[in-house]
Amino acid sequence: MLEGIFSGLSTAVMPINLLMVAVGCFAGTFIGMLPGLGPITAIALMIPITYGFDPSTGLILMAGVYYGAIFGGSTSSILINAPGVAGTVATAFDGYPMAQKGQAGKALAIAAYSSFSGGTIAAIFLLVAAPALASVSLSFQSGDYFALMVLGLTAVSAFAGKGQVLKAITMTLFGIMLSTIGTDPAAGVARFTFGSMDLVDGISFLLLAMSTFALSEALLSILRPTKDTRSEEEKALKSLGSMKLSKEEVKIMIPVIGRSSVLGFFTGVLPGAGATIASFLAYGMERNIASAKEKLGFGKGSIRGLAAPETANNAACSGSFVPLLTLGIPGSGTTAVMMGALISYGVQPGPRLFVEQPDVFWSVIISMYIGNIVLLVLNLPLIPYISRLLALPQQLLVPFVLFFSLVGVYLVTFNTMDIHMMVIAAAIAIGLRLLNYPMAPMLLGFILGKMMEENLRRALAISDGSISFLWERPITLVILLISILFLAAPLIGNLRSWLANRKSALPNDGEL
Amino acid sequence: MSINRDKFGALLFLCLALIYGFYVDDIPLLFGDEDAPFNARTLPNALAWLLGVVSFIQLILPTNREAGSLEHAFRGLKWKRVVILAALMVFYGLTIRQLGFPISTSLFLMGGFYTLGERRPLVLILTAVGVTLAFWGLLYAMGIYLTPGDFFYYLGWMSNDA
Repeated sequence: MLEGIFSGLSTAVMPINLLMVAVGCFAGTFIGMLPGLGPITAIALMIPITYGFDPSTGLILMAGVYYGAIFGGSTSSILINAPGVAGTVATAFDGYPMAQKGQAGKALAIAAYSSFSGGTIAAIFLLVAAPALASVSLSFQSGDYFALMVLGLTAVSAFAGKGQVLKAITMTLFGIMLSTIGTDPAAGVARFTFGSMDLVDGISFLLLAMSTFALSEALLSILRPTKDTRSEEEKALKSLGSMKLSKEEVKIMIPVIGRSSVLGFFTGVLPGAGATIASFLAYGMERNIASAKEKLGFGKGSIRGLAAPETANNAACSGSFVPLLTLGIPGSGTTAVMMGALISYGVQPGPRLFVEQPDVFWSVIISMYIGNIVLLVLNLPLIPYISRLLALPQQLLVPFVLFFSLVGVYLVTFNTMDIHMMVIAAAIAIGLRLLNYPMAPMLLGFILGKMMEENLRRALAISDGSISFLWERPITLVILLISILFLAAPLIGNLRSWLANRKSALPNDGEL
Repeated sequence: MSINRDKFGALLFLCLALIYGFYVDDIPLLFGDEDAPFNARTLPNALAWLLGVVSFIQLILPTNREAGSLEHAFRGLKWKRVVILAALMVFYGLTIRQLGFPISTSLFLMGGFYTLGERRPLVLILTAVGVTLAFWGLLYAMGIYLTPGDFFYYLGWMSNDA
């Protein structure tokens, strides 16, 4: 393990990789601060740039973008109460009231120190947990992998939020359906290609990610114009106030950071949960354990209320790398995009990665420390300068996003048909977004669909066509039972609330 | 009568499941694969059924009033500019080979800026052409060469001999 850490360290501190962490953090912070664009878009836009690099460098850049986007989202949350990403919504609860009290600089500093500490502590956990889990998972069989993928997909649906479970399941199934287009890898027969040569290789992951996130998010910002908050944000950044923290404030933060790091990391490890759930859980936990007097301060600029979600969301980001790096199963939309990029570099994430390409495995983990340092040392003092980029008018910004998305996909295949397919996919994505269907489960379904089919086929072949592999090994059975629990819990909850409200429900005039 | 947004979505996916399921039988099977426990049709068949069942459940479950009506979801949207941008993207796909990367990208960017309200000719042209040429140069430096376009070869201004 020590050898691996040193090898990762030597790769991560190479000048090009250090540069990429810094570039990633800056680009991520900028994109995260833009209204409407999230970390998935930020990472997807970076993929074409990383094709020229080796896998370690590419993944290091994307990890930097991920952290940067979360940090950028926090900045918008604190300054103008407009979270750029869902994972920083809880940050606004106490961050924005602090900014309103004229303590914006202090709030940003608390967010940065908490993010740094959360990310660093979680990276230490990752350092221990990832190799251990990778070693265990080497004994996993096809059936276990199939069960794990089912768990990943059901968890994403289960954590989708109230009223969204069925929609998330629908989108997951839709994603798996899209993954069946093309040549069946085992039988070599064409499926759903309708005679088109362009579909023989299936739909490219990058094309799908770019069109359903980058393109559709950019077009939606035109279709459904939201309040342009950039000038407001720029103005707020000009009067930040002091960024210094007193000893008492640091004393308050330390135990919060410790608790929220642990909670955030383990929430991040769970497939489907992630930065958003982690930040809300941490905020709720802090409020619950606070004294009656301290509780009154929550929502009015409490240091604990700001430090907890900020620590947890960054810790969850690190935690979400555990299933990706050790099992090859992405737990969130963001890590699904990273996995797609890794596969296109020719690197298969999973337990073999730890054995076969330890430099990639360790350099990513080590780069997380470096990324956190970059965020703290460079991004925090440079925030006012990064924000100047926000002055770029939207009429120029949106065509640039469209251009980078289109050309990013075109440069991989040099097939103009891909550009047309992107327009169609973006149009469908916009329609689905307007109907309030979540996009991340679809991407996850698409990525895991092919692997799930392959593992199911292999498991059935090994067990001579019998489905007994689902319960023969305790680990497979336990994973499947957890999946059923994940899926059943929200559905039963919905059913119970429906039964409870049934009597008071009014007739639904005119609606189908 | 206006349809609920969630119900409309469920109806769309139910149709998709039916269409997808209909085409599953078009997947060719290798000799002897018909009786195999898992063949090229197994997963698509399962998916068609699952999606059909899930969307049907959503259709028959009580209406989620918070979702609102379909009309409400699509009200007040600025379609015109989005449709023009989509057309520009199609145009970009059609011309990138013929006109070449520099010209078609510059035209696409200028069209995009103009559609979104930029009217200053200097900003329109300089930004679009400047970014395109800078990106083209960057790609060239990275070892990716994009030809100036078939159009120039047809005119005889460029040679294929190089």
